[in-house]
Amino acid sequence: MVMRNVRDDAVGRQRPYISPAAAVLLAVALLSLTPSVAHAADSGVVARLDPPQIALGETAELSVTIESTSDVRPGLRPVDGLRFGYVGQSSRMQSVNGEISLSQTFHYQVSAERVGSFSIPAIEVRIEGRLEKSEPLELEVVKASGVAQLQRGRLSPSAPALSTPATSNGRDASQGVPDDVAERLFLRVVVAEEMPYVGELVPIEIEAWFPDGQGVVLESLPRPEGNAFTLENAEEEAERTRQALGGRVYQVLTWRAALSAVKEGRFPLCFAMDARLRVRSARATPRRRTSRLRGLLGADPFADDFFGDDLFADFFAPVREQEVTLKSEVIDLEVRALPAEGRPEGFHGAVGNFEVNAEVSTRRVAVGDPLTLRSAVRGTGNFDRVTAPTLDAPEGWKSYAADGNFEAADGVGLVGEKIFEQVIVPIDDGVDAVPPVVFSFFDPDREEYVTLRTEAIGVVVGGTASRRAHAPGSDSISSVAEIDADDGLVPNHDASTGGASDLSPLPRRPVFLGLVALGALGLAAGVWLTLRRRALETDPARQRRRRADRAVGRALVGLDRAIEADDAPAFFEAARCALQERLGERWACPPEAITLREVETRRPDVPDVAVTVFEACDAVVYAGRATMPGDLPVWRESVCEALHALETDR
Amino acid sequence: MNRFADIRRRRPRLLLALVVLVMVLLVVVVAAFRAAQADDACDPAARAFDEGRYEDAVDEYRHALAESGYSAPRLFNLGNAYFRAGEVGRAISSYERARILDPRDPDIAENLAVVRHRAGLAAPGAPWWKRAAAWFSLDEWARIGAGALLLLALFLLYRGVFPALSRRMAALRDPSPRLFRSVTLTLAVVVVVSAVAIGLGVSDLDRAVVVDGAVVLRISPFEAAEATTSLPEGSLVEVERAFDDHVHVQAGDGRSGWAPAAQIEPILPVPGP
Repeated sequence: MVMRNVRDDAVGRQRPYISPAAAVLLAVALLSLTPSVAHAADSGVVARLDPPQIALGETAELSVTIESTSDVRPGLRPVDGLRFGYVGQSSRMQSVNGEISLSQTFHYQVSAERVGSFSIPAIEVRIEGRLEKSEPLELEVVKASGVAQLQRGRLSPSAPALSTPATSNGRDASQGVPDDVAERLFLRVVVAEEMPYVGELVPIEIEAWFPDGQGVVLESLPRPEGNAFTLENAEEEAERTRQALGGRVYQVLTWRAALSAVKEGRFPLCFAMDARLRVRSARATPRRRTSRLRGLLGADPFADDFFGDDLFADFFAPVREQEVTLKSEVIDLEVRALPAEGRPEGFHGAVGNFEVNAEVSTRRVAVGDPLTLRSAVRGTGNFDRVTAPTLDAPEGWKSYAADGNFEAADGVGLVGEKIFEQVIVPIDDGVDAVPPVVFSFFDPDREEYVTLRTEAIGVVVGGTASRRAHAPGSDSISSVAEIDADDGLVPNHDASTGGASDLSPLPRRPVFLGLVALGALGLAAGVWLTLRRRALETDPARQRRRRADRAVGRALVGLDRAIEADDAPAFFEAARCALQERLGERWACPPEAITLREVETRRPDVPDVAVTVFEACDAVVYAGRATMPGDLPVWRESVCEALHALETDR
Repeated sequence: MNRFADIRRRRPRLLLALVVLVMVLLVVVVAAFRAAQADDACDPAARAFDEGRYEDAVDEYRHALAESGYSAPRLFNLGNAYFRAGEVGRAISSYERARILDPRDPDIAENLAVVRHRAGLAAPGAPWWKRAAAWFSLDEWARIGAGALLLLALFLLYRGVFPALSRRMAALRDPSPRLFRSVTLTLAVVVVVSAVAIGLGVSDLDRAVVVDGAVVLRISPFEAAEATTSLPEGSLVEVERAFDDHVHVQAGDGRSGWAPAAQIEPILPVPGP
């Protein structure tokens, strides 16, 4: 609804009184037919309220447009029962024939504290010294449910079932949550049984409905309020679906569980769940415009996401988190007590529909030999209260505590099989059967107690603990394995070949371990040698040194032979060769290229004794200088000293 | 004269051939003797088995094992005899022992399955790598692995000392780097695979079988202790520790407790004192 502004000298028009119902109908008709474009006045202030009629808990958007180039702000007067929240402002500049005009629009969120008709007085703005006013506005606030239905336009066929759940609820906890969002959060509970018995497990489905696209963080799983009911075996992972309802798309989380009543009587059943909503605070009512468009075109649940929001306004709006508590509608359940009449002795609280069977690990035992009795209870019900079936008339048997193991066939543990294993020992050789096992439960469908009893299991109990006293031809059965010759066994093999004296495998024999240790040592040595070889092959200095060592070794042998032969030229030739090899290695040059001149040139690097020996060698080999044979051993010492000096100086 | 000279020259060769012939004959005779001895040892067992005297057959096969040693056929036959005599646990134990020696014998696997089925026992499951490792017996894996290890060591030693050897024996050839890498890698893989397979197999040697009827597992190693559960005869268990005349065992399904040692027969026989 658009209100044209008037000058301060204008008088507000008297608005005729209309009833709330008529106002609602009128509002709907106008919403459907009237576009929400304000008629721009010549200048001044235009205020509009969108929509003019809301449900309690919803908000309307008040926008005040001021056409002025100066910086002005509208003044809002407080209205009893209404709250105004500043949302933001926008500006628009126009140039028509060179004349520039500026309009600013201020947005407010209006919410009501009670049902009724409210009048928002004229909004006053001082523009260039003039006091300008808008027209007063009227806001109709009605009860929540009626308006909700009217605004949704049409509900899905399932609406009746879903209209009853409490809406957002937890209003106290959700202060600040946009009302249209809060109104669309709810829990829905479907209970399979309206009059359960105490202890009976009743399948239950709990659905949490959230508007699609709404950021939600679950803080808890659904929980029953009060102390009359407990939730059993709730699935931790909820099933997530998308569903359309009332023209909106929802994310629906569904938990399946079992409900158990802990005491008899009539109790309200209500579920609650905590969550945190992510709310964009700058634009609290973003979907008003398209709501009306949907009203014209018909509800389209999938158009909501694409066209419903002002994407960019929401994108830049600040986000805050708000805690909310969702609650379901209250359902009154009549919890019935299990009848005292006809309650069997062995009843331990099992309620449901069960069947039982039993078997034994062997049918042939000796007195004192244990056997395992395996009882299986399968069906539907509260398996947490299913205890091991008991032996009926256990005379002659000693029984031990049973171990139970439950295997659920569904997600919530209502259907499945509980298997008990119990060791029993015959203590009397007169027994010929394992007694029947007995199991009692209460059947809620038949509304009576049921006691199941299996058949006795025939066994053969020998007189002593030794089962090996079986004699051929005896009519007693030695064991379950005693069977006829056609027992499926592969016939005997030819066992005439020899065998090993020890069954211990080779890896456990010391000889083998010793062999492996030897192999490991060889492997380590091989690896070391291989690495060493690779190092030699890739290091020229080491290669030169090895070559020089070998050549020097050969030369020393030549020295000794020359001494023995008293052959001075051969001696000094060998000595010269040895020195050349060592110096060649040292200087990284070919040994044969080293001369006396070279040695003298590098004299500081060559020990004196080496120079002396080299000079003597040259003198004997090239100059033919005679040397006393008796001197050769002395010269050998000198050669060795020179070689040693070259090695140590390396 | 020349002929005599020829004979004198050939004498060492003739002597060598004669020695080899004698040795071969000796080996054949010994083998035949042992086979005959084994045959003799097994005959009464086979006869007792054929006549349906299974407990006698058990005794005879056990005697044959003590006299002639363990062999897969002998243990297999003993398992058959035990089963026919009604001793499921010892039958399974014998088959498991036979499988240590000959893991690829389908008859052993089949009879094990038959016995377990008849006794209502579930076949123990094993992951694929354990089944693959069980294709060879532990002895076979040991031979393969040790052979590969020794070959690898020799190969590396040869290559490491080749430069020194080649100076003395010119005919020797240095393996090319490519051949060296291929051979080394292949042998190393064989060694590692064998070691893993042996490790897997050795861990199974500590298993044992419940014999002499179902065994009651107790929370402590005393007859008066509270029973926790029971295991049927023939169940495979792992022996974890011993205390006096009790052993702590764990079954394949996780159940554990103390059992009388007399009812738990290790698959690998414990050597006597």
